[in-house]
Amino acid sequence: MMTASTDPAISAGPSSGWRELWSKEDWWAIWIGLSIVLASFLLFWSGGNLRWLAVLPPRWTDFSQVLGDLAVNWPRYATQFVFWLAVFSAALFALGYKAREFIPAFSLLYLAAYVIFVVGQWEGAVHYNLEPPLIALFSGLLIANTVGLPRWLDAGFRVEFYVKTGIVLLGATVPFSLIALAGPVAILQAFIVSIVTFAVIFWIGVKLGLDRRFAATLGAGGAVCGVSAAIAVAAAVGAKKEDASVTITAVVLWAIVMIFALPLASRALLLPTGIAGAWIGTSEFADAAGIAAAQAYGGYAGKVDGITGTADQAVQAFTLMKVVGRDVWIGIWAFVLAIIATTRWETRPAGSRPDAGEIWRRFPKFVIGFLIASAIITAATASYSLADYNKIAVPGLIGPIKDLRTWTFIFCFFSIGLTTRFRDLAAAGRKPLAAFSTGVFVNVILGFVLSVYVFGGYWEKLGQ
Amino acid sequence: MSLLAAIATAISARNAAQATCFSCAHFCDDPARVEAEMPGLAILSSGHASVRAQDGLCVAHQLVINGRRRCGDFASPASEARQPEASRSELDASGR
Repeated sequence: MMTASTDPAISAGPSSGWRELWSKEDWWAIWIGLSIVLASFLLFWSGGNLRWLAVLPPRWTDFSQVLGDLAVNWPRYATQFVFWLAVFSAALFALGYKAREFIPAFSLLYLAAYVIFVVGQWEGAVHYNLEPPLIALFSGLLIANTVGLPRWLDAGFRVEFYVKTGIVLLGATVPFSLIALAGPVAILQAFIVSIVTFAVIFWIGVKLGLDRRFAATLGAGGAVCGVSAAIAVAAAVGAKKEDASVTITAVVLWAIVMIFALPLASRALLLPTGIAGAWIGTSEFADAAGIAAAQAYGGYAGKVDGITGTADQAVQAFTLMKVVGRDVWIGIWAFVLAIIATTRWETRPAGSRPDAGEIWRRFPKFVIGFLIASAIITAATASYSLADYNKIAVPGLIGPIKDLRTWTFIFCFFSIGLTTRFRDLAAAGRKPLAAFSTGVFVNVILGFVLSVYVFGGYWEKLGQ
Repeated sequence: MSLLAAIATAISARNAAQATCFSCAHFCDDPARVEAEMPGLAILSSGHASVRAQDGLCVAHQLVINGRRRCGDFASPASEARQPEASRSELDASGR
């Protein structure tokens, strides 16, 4: 676990806003993601493209096709590996990690991602539910909880960093007009579900005798953005460390269950991809887990009879719902709960005080990168007709970005599995788990009703 | 000497009076240490995430805090060079 190279002082004290530009992974995700988007744009503008770097294993029915691709394209895979290694190493070095730990860890991760990709590209994969996100997660879980890997390798398994980089790249494939049009619907749906889920978990938690700060931490974990929300609210209200750890356990366990359960339930119900993406965005607890579920379900599009829509719709609906609808409001949740904690609840000896500045400080900055990437590509393709957009811009400009994004998501999914060691998690306890699980149940039902019946027509036609 | 020393003492005293948990020896905001103290945090989040802002752990009271207050147990690391080591010991002895 302890992979950072520095042995810093206990506290660096309050950092300046500028320092965040190189000390927070959100900003590094922006630098990396936007650099790729700009490089793709500049190459496209000058008559080239990023395709050579954005190599993927081919679709195959006979394994000799994979070997043939490898024989021809190995220099491209090698270059891509060096590219990812260089940019992620630079970022993680700045964040305090040791290169000698990250390099072997990432090498292993890239090799595994390639194998997972190859399995997922098999024509028969969808028949056996072998979608790359699910393979990555399941194989990672299996390794981490059986043979295990040395903990120092966790330096390369930075789930959040990879998913944030991927979400910035995802912005390039989401038209800005779509964000502007769908954003309000996503915010409304997310607002309803978040308030109800938080209220249910908090009320049941308090009724079961949990401390109100603990109940608020649990509620935020279930209602807003999972572990990140739990930690932010725990700090805002001054919760006990052990209560935050228990909340993390509850969120992780349910998030892992939902990665498998939501796509399977959606498949059983033959939900259109846009609707399923919205449901996953409403009812998953973390960006990384939700992207895994949405991408897995998007993989069924065009392959499973009865599932309409496109793969992009699943991921776009998820992202709008989760990132725009839920994540960006964490600062406000933390600020409001901090005010309530300090004015209405019993005092604690140390530490937390409401501060409006935290609304900005806690803002998930990678969302800015997502919006800028969308704006860049939207502006760059504004003059294209739909036919030219599909014929010229998609293969030359957007396609390579999308394929590089897919790599970052595979890195993320495998890392979730490899870092989820169930024996390490804090024991959750009956009461907190009961309160959280009730909230999950309400969230899933309400999320389904809103995604399918109330806003279903909207999500089904997303982007069309 | 006396005037400068008096000014320095006054500034030091004012800073000490205004200090919050951020500058307390019991406050720990190192991302790697925060991740280690809360198992599972790095699975679906990160110690380096923006949403964490400048949060940290109060190792004296075993709380997660945003560090914007201070309490009677405030300990200045500047006045006690051994404090960071002491705080690490507190972390190690905190049940993990």
